[in-house]
This record gives sequence, C-alpha cells and structure tokens, in this order.
Amino acid sequence: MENKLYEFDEVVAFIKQGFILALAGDEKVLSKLPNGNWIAGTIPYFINTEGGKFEQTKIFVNKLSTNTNFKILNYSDDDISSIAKDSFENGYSLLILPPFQKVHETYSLQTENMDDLYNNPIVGWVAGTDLNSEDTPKTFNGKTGEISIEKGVAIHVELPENKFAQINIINIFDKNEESDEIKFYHDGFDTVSCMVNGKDTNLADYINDNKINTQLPLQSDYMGAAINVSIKEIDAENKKVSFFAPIFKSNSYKFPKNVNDYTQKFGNFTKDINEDNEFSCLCILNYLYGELENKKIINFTGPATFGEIAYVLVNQTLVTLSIEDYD
Amino acid sequence: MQNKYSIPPRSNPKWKALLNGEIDISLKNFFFQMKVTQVKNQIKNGILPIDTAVDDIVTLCKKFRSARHMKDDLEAIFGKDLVISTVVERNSDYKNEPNEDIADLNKKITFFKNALEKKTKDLKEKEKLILSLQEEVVLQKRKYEVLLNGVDKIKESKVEDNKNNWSFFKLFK
Repeated sequence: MENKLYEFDEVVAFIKQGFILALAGDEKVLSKLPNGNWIAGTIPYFINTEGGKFEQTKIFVNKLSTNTNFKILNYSDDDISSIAKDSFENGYSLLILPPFQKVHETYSLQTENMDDLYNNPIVGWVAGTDLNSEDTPKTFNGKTGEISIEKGVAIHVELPENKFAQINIINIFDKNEESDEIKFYHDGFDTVSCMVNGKDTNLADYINDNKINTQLPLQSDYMGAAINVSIKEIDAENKKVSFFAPIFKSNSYKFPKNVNDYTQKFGNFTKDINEDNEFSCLCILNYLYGELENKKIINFTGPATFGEIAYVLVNQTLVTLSIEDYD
Repeated sequence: MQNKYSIPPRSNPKWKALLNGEIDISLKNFFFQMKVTQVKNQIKNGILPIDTAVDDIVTLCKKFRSARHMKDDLEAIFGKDLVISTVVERNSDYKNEPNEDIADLNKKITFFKNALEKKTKDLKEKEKLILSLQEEVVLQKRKYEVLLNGVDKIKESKVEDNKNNWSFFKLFK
C-alpha cells in the first residue's frame, strides 16, 4: 500500500481489514473512524504523491509492518520517560505528541539523558492544526478510541529477527562555519540571554542587530549530524526568543547558510532514498518557508508536522524510518 | 555474505577515546551520531561511568551493525584492519565476543543456580529454568563453533546437540 492520502471510506476499509496504520488528518475526519489497529494525530498539511497539499477530508496513511506483534499506548508527562523501555527487544516505536503540552516538553527535554533511548528507533511527529483556525491539535488512540489534547500516543512494533529499523534525517541547511558560536545558560524552550563567542549577549538583540533571517534554525552538531531548533517567536518587548524544540546548555549552536530552493535541495537528498519507507514526515516550517504547496519532493510523501521526532525532537528536518534486512 | 565484519571488542582503548572526546570525528550513521553525543555528554556531566557507556555502545553497535554507514564509521575510528570480515549467518549467532560470552554464560548459570535453590519446592518452575539454561548453552556453544570453525561446523553441531543427553543438568534434577 502506497503511503499517501486516501479517501475516508478507503481508510475505514483498511481498518476493518485489520491493517496496522499510522494516520494523519483533520480532526473532523479522524474522529469518525472506527476503532482498530491505528494511531493518529491531527494535521491538514501534506506532501502527497502529486505535491504539497492542504487537505481536510482525506487521511494520510502509513501502513506499518503487520506480520509481528505491536502495542498501542498513550503517554502523559508522568510516564513518557518509559517509552523506550516499552518497546520490543527488536523493533521501533512511532510516537505522536501534542504540541506545547507537558508531555511534549518532558519528552523533548528528557531525551538528553533518557535510558535506553537508542535501543530501538523512536520516530514520529508533533500534531498540529490549520494555522488559520482556532482548532486544537489532538492525538488519537484507535485501539481504545481515546482522543487527547494532552497525551501522546505511540505504537510499538516488533520486527522479526532478520530485520531492523533505522532512522535517517535530511537537513537541507548547510553548516556555516563562519557563523558565531552561541551557547545557552539553561535547557528549555525559550531564552533571554546567551553567550555569543563567549560573550554574554541578549539573543533577541543579536538576531536583530545582525539581521539574521529568523526562518533559519539554530543548528547544533551531534558528531556530524546537524540538529535544528527553529525560532518560534521573538518577543521584542521582553527581549525573549522562544523555540519549537528545546535548546540545551551542553550544546553549541550556529546559524546555518540560507537555502534558496527548498524543493531542489530536498530532491538532491531524496533522490537516493527508498520511497517505500515505513514512515516519513517533514516540518511544517519547510512547507511554509519553502512554499511547497503543489510542489513535489522526489521519493517523498508524508505529513508536514509541527515538529519531527528522530529519537529527539527536531525541527525543519525531513525524517524517514526504513526497515532493513540484516546482511 | 556481503558487509560482514566484527565489532571491535569492548577492551579496545579506542572506544574510551571516542567517548571521552580524545578521538574527535564526524560520523555518518544517524544512530551512532546521536548515541555517541548523548553518552559523551553524560560522561562529561558525571552521570554515566565510561565503562558502562562502552558496554552499552558496543552492544548497540552490534545490534545495528548492518545499518547504513555503520561499517564506514567503525573503520574511520578503528582502522580497516580492525574491522575484519568474518562468517556469520544470523544476527543472533554473533552477539558477543567469545570472552564476553563466557562471562555472560557464567552470570546466567549463577542466576539459575540461585533461582533453583530458592525454588526447590516448585518442581515445575525448576524444570522451566533448566530448559531455559539448556537452550542458552546450546546457543552459546553454536556461537563458539561459528567463531572458531566457521559456518559449516555449526550445521554439524546442530545434529550433535540433538543427541546430547545433557548429563550436566542431571546435577540439578
């Protein structure tokens, strides 16, 4: 089954056939689905087979590996730190979180020191809504029928012994070695002060004074992997900058180089990936800043989300999960 | 039989050098990049002892040894000579190095013995524990034979295992 948008009736048929599904769509259609082996989150933005699309009647479907065990669990901020321990010995977990709820904050801050985080891939996304609406992002547990504003939902999938799952990320923002080095005094989703090249600085002033494009994320190097944290808002009055993912005091950050053509840049990477991925998603900010509506990305379909999970919470990134055979 | 290689043992000093920052390298495999970063920070902050970190990361590198770029990364750290081609049939046949297998097995035998002493009255439980231990010994035995003699030998040993009367376990019965 192709990972793409399907009509409501088609999705109902998949559920009735017992498929294990990860779904993304508007609350109005998701809430009418029958119970079954599925999880979902709200979002109306997608990269579909024909290109970027705002869609509120169809549902995006990822059919997951079905020949082994799976379990669907809800998570609150009390128990989200046990998500890795809940996974199977060999498999992966697909997690959908509601944005800016306690569970979202706890997960993204605790991954720094979470035990067993890397024992199996944890992949997923942050639910969202039509940006021009007053809707509230929600997660759906198809097994129990629970719809939640505050809880995350995950499906843990077991894989057979001869297979394993792996996450890959695509970050189109090239490192800019000439950028100033920025460090923070604390972990969190917002900050007033920081250190720029070792000197105490107000980040809002620094961004303003240096005319930094706020569509660029802050980028930190994880042994060669560039991990993005996107700017959510600059509060000019209080001189406070807030982010879509946490900043960590243990990391150094830099602003990357500008990107002119998002589709071309993504295509340079996605031309080599397998389009039959188990799961993939992309950031809503790439969709918006890159003006991806009606534009196609080679070999990629998936929801455009309010944050991506590739073990940790990342922003402005394309994330894929593939199932591979052991050699 | 493509892309077969052994993961350098925990005793290789380059594991510690990687995790304490002495080896500063840009990795390519996403899991490895993220895991090493987490562990390096935890060691720096005094949360994780380096020996535990090495144990953990070696185990996970074995699990994900077939992942994209993992072999390239290990070659970049340990050199091509240390990532030696070997013969392995399945994931479960090659979990640990020989010495580590012996240590693991000894731990398991001690565990089972202790459990048996506590549960001598529960015969069914006793029988279950013995069966588990028997299975573990068969698995370990096959692993040694793969490492010492190659894949052909393991096939012969499977026949032998079936004939084995397990006199060792009669001690417990």
